[in-house]
Amino acid sequence: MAREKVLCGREEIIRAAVRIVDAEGMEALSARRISKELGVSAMTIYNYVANLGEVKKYVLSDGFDRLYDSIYHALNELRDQVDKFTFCKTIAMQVFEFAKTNRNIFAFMFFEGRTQFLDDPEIRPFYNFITKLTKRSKATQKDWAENQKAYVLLESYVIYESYQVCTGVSDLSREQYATMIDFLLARCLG
Amino acid sequence: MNNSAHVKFLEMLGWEGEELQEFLPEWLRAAKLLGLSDRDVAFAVEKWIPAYWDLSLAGVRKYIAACIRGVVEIAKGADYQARGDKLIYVNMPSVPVLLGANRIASGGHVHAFYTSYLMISVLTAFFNKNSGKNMDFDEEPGCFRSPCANCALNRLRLRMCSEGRLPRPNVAWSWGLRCSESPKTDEMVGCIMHGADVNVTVTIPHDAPSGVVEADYAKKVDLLTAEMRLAQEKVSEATGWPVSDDDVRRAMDDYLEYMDRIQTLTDLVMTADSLPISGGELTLFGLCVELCLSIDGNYIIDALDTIIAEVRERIEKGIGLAPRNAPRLACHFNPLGTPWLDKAFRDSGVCLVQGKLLPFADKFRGFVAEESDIYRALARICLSIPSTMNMLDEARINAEMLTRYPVDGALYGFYSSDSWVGALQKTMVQVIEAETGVPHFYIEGSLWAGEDTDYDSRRAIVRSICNYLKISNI
Repeated sequence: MAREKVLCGREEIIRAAVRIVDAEGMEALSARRISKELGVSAMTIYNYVANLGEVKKYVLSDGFDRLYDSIYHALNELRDQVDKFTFCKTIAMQVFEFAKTNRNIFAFMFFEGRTQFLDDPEIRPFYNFITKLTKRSKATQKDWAENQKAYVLLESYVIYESYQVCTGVSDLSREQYATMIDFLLARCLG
Repeated sequence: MNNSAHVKFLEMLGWEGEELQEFLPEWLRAAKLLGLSDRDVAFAVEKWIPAYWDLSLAGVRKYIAACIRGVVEIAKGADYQARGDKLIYVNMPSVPVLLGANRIASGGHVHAFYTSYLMISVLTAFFNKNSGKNMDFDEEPGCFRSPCANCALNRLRLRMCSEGRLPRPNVAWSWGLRCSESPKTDEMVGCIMHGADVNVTVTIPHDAPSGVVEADYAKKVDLLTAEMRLAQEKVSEATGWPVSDDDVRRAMDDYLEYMDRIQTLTDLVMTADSLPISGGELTLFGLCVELCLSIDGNYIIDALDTIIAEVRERIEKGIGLAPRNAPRLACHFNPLGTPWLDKAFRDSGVCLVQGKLLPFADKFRGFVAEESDIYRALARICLSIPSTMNMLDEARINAEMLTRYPVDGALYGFYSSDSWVGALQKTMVQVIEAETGVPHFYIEGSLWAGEDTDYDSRRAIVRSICNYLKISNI
């Protein structure tokens, strides 16, 4: 019998799970599927994770990691030119791009995953991020209270539209989306 | 045993010449007690300690050395008993004033050790030995094996007792101020194996109305005062050394002398433009808030005076661990046991701060001035240490800290091994965030597990927190 490959840690399982969900969606994720991807037995997976729910959480947190990373780098490039409009628009555009590039992960993050993990203390801080980030950011902090409703509306629209695009319900282009964001910010931000 | 690694270890911490040669056999004995191999010590010297502790700071070297002296003292317990001295084993959390009083009253013939807390802190912080992969679970007594989720501190103590590695103490002084698992462990040790001669317990019910400031709640203060007096009477009966109120006052003076320096250090570090020492190092110096090392107190005071001078110098020269605008994350749990986490955050551009340092010297001195009964002052101090009191009172104290030292975020967690504290924190973070507006984050994991156990799965969350904070800084 061939010797089974030895896993070095959870990181391999997480990476395999992310690849599977990226390519095939969350419904394809199972211990058997992960084990096949890694060339180990299904039981080996459970030496490193308690259950599939734990793996889904890792996939979710990996999604937020990549989303936040893209937002940070985009904002950091504009650092000295960021006002509340560019701050919000940059985040909005990065979320849209992330949703288009990582359709299955985004769909999980903001639909099924949100339902499952919104109460999880590790994950909860990362949701409603536009409202929270604008409250703390130097660019938006000063008059945040006056514009709070605008940020809540913006977040709702961004997540809604991005979700529609990533699930294929909407074929809104990047330019059309940017126009909508510009309109919303111009009308709502004081 | 090849001693070269051990010699290098002691040299690294400042031992040299004749002092080193005299101390070496004692350290070797302590290393054996800790289960450290030559390879473990070599790893600590070559890789682990230099990676996570700033040895360019003499204060850091001195304090680590003080911790090592503390473990050496534990290892000498049998010798002390053989010459007629008495041993008290203590658990945390507890305020070590009464233990100091016992030492003062006995002229050094009563030795109080926080055996498991100090040993696990040393093992995790300086050797990356932990209660996860590196300790062999199969060797644990069957009653405490997984999946029973018992605190690593209690598991270690049980294991040490069952293997006879630690001498049986004259007194097991169980403090159940927060949880009752430790007193129950001591009861179990007493029942099923040869435990202490005498078990003394100090516990308080958690029945204060939510939000009440327990340090000012007369009913609770009175109860704890009485519990501690009674407990000390029992301890003195067991050790043969009476402890007067004056002894307690002297021990309190020593404790407050230490707390004064903690307050100074905390103020300096938390108000500096650029963080002069790491969060882990901040926690290191705060270790004696909740334990005593049972060594000459001058070692600790000297280490603190040294680090304070070094921090002042760094601040003056503008030397720091991160750029001035690096976000600061107030870390509620003890990163001493997880120094790799501190570095993981710093590598991603965020500084962990605060640790378990409690800048409460002024408050504590106020209690001593207000109360004619020194035990009552001590009770109020115990009820001011976070996690001893009701959740909303603790939230209030933590919120005060965030106001006193503005930070960009707060981090809780790493108490998955403690179902009580872990559960409370998950609720408390929402309360404090709502009150202060400071973003609060939570990470699952165990303080006493190792980097390889926890970091893999938390890497994404750590990075997300860092990016979140960096975005907020724009």
